[in-house]
Amino acid sequence: MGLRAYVARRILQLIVTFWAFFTLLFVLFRMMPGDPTSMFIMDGMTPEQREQRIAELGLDQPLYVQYVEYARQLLTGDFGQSFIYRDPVIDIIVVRFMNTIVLMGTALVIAYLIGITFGAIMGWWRDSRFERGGIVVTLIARSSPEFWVGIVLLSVFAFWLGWFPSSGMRTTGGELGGGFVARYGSADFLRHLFLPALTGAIVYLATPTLLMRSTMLDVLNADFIEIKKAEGLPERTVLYKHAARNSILPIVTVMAIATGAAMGGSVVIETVFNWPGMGREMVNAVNNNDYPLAMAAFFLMGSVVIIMNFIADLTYVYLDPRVEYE
Amino acid sequence: MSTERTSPIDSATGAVGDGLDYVRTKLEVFEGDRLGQIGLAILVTFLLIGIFARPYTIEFLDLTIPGLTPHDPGERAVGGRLESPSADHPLGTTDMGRDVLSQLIAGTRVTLIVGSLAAFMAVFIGTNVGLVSAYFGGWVDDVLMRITDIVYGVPFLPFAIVLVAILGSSLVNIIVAIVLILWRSTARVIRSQVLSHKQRPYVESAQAIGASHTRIMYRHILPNVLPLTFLYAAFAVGWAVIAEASLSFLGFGDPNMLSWGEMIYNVYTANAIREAWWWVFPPGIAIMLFVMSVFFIGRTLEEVVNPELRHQK
Amino acid sequence: MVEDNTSRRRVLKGAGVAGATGLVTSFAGCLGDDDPDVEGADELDEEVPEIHLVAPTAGTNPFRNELASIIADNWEEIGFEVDLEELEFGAHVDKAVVQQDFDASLLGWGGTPERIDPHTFIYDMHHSNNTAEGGRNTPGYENDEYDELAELQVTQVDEDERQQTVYDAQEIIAEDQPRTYIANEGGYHPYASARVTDVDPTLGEGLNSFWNMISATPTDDDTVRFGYPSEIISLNPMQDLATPDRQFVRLIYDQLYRIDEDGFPSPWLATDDPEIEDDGMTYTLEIRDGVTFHDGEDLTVEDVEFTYEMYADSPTYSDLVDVIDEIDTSGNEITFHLEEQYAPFTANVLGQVYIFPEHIWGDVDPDDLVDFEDENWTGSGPFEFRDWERQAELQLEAFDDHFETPNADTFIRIPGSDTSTLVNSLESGQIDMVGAVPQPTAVDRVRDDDELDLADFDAVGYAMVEYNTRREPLDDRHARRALSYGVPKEEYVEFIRDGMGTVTHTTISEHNEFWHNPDVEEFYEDLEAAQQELADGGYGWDDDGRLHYGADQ
Repeated sequence: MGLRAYVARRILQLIVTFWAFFTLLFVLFRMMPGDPTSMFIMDGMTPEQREQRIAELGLDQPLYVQYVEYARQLLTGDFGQSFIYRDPVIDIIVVRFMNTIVLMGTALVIAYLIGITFGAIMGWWRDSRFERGGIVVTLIARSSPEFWVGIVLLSVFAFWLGWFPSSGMRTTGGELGGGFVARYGSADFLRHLFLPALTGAIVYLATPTLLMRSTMLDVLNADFIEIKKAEGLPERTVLYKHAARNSILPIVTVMAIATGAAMGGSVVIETVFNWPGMGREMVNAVNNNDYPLAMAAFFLMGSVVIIMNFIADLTYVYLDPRVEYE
Repeated sequence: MSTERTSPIDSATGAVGDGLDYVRTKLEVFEGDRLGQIGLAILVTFLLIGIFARPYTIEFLDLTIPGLTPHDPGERAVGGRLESPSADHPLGTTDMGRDVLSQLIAGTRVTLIVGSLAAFMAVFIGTNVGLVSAYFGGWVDDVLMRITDIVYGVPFLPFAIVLVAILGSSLVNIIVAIVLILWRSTARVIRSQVLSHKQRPYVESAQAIGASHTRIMYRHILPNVLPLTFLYAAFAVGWAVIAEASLSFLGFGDPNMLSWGEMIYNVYTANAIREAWWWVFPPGIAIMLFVMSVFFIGRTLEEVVNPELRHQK
Repeated sequence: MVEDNTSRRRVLKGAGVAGATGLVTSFAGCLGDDDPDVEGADELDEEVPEIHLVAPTAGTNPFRNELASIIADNWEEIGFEVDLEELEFGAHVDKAVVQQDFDASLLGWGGTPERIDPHTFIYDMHHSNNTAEGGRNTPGYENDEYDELAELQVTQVDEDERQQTVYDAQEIIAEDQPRTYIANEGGYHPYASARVTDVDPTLGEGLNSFWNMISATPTDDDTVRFGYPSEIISLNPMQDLATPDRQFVRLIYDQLYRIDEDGFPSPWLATDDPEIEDDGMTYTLEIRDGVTFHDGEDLTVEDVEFTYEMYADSPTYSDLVDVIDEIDTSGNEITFHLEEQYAPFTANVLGQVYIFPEHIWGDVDPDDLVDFEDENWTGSGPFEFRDWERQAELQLEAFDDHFETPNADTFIRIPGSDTSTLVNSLESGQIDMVGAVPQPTAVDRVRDDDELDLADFDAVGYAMVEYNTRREPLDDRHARRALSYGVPKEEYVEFIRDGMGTVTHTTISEHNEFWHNPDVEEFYEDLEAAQQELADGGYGWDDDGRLHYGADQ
């Protein structure tokens, strides 16, 4: 099978995957107990108003009708209207999604930068005290749940030392909105970002570190290193070029998965640090039975991972011609 | 798929039996491996604490083995509100006057149950999916791997929250939620491993003498990928425990089973993190130690799987 | 007896995990299961069905969650079998209030200002008209004698007469116990006394009250930052709103009357109390002069008339103004002709309808009202809308042309993921007030902090156990009364809530002094009385202490 046919087939599969994913979500959310009026009943919504509202939302329709309607909407790129807020879902989600991406993206970038460097050094100095200590530290970091790391950092740096704010994304009262740079570039924002991003970075640090270390070991053991050395190339150059080349594939694959984990894990960090992100919004939406909002949030998060996986697959094929298009 | 089948339970027990033999012969890898030894020691300690946490009554002997917990972990007002550690309450008390040490000890059990059950089930599913997928290839592979893709697309915690909301928050449902997500990584890894084994001569000769698909998969190929399975099981234990703790921390834990995650959730909702260090740190450190122990063991197993790592020593 | 096994949950908590409660062991201990002190019926019929008790999760309400496990213990102690189910708020309301699939349900009724008038608590919650799915009479309580009183009080414009009716009604439900009225959950709202002065916590709402928000005065800058544990849904007053939304909508939009600090409607956009004609069906009032909307347009009597017509046409709030038959205007005066007598008209209609600018909302189709986006949310209230980013902050600023200019120039509302994070933010100086009751530990910490203080307030609403009177054995008054004796009201207030709140025995809070009947029958935790009540009702116990119907019942 040629490359082009392979890519075509993968794209087809991608579409089927998306459809199945969407259906799964739809079924899952319709099984949830309660409906979006629950939260208003204790605040005075009468039974008549409730029925009217349910009909207005189309929730009295047979499930398959709702399914077809929602699928049709989604195909036109419309996520519908939030049941609770009554605003277009997309308006609510875009801002929240950006907040989460900025937070988790920063955490991942820090984790991978440090991890790759650290891992490479550990592999380079194998069997040293540094390596052994490094492994222990890495494993300990990996053993800590996000909320635990968050609570410890919060206790030390926010409550005890008072160096960083304990919650939120910026000091309140300022100008809202503004461009990307205005929102995410200010010193105030960075100060708020520090602890939650550090929490994420600590938790996600282990994977790239250990991966980079073992890749390094593989490269150091490989026969061709000896050959290249014999050819008179400086050891460092050989190492750098080959270690880098050999580590791209596994790192890319792992990063795709890590992004997914980070998306899901953001719920915890956002809760601990009161970060106005997607994860919290999603949990709220689930609790409020706001199906369109919750589904869109799940769908977006899932899409990021599915597409990342897809890209990782293609990169794999592209970078490593030995892989058969199976 | 194959029309010949042996009972899946037979093959499963076979697999476990093989696995035990395997572990016995390979237990020697822990010799000289400091981290592995530490991990084992911690794990065994937790195991013992978990088993003897609460009193047992053996009826026909009319004997009661006392539990390790000094107090009933759920009982209110055994001490004052938020007392710091004392001789009576070595780890202090909670906001409702419950004994923290007793809660910590009782929580070990939940951790062990979640860790072992979830990991076993996840790896069981993952190994089978990977095996079948790689062995048969073609559309079977396509379908199974796309399912795996979808599962990768499902963000774990939010998914678990929804599932628990649907099914109710019990320990069983939490384990189900964890398993439904956790099998994916094992499936992928086993698949790629089996793919390479499929090409090897021993599989071809088995096929030549007319062995059934099931037999080839479970008798011939499986033993070769088992070490990897065990490695993933060790990691799965760790992830499962972290997952349960995170769910409990978000308030979706089993209200009738006190776990370490739930303890931290309780401190957090009681807004006592600042003052009650004796209530915050023990469960957090316990989670860390437990997960660390299985990761240390996992690392030792990794050297079994990848002997090259060992030869470097 | 058919039971859905999958939905059953063990109350192992009672047997092993939770154990006997510390404070009740003294007399719970003498009621051994095998040996009831009270003699029940001699000949037993079948077992009394299991009680399915629905309660909030610890995350939804830690106090009530704790209480539920004690209640379950006590009920088992007196011979019932209890199946305790813990649910999130939405699922709980759906199961208990909408599906009515429960035997007993531990919930709370909020005490918003419009509920200070007794109508909601007397009529809506206990009249047999309101037993439909989602109706407020969740227990399905039906008592003809009571219904008559509940209907009578609506027509009594004379307050003293109405008070007597409301008193009588409270006596009846106290005897029938369709609900166990547990406690008015007052408490503390923390604030930073170093940064804000003149806080004004009011009955039922504490720092969430309207009066607090216009009175709070920042000390060093001009901003008050207010934290609340959830985000509001919308500022559109025509949407389905929950209590936290109304608390901000009413800052931006004015009503003709506002409920004052003592719980009575007082003139706001109106110049004086309404003139009510003797038939009790005609209300006339005058509109204040010189009031403008935030965009500078005058607020006129036409705007008021338009508003009431808009409400009548709206799908969400037409119920509210249903009772109005006709509206006349003349000069600055407006007259409401009612279809029937409706005593709470001033408090519950004139005090709840927000006045809209006709020049903005005039052309909106009734069906589009809920979705209408007035980007500036132009009202006439003491604060005007500045900006809003959901889950981050809502910014309001003082409307200087208002007749009651607020003391803070800028008022910011900050939603938190929970009360704990908000208290943390308060302590670290990121917010100035919290509109939620913290846990006792945090209360102690705030009390010890020089920069912080607590604003205490009493509650109008209450926590309660509702009994589904459509089902056995809860259709029997004796069973309900016995269960009520199993609810540890004092332990709930004194221990679990660490003294926050007051025990109650009736539907009207003691803090709502005018309407509260102090002489109703009281139910304190008393397991022996519970067993006596059951014995009187003809029940009996088997050798295991399990409750049975008596053969003569």
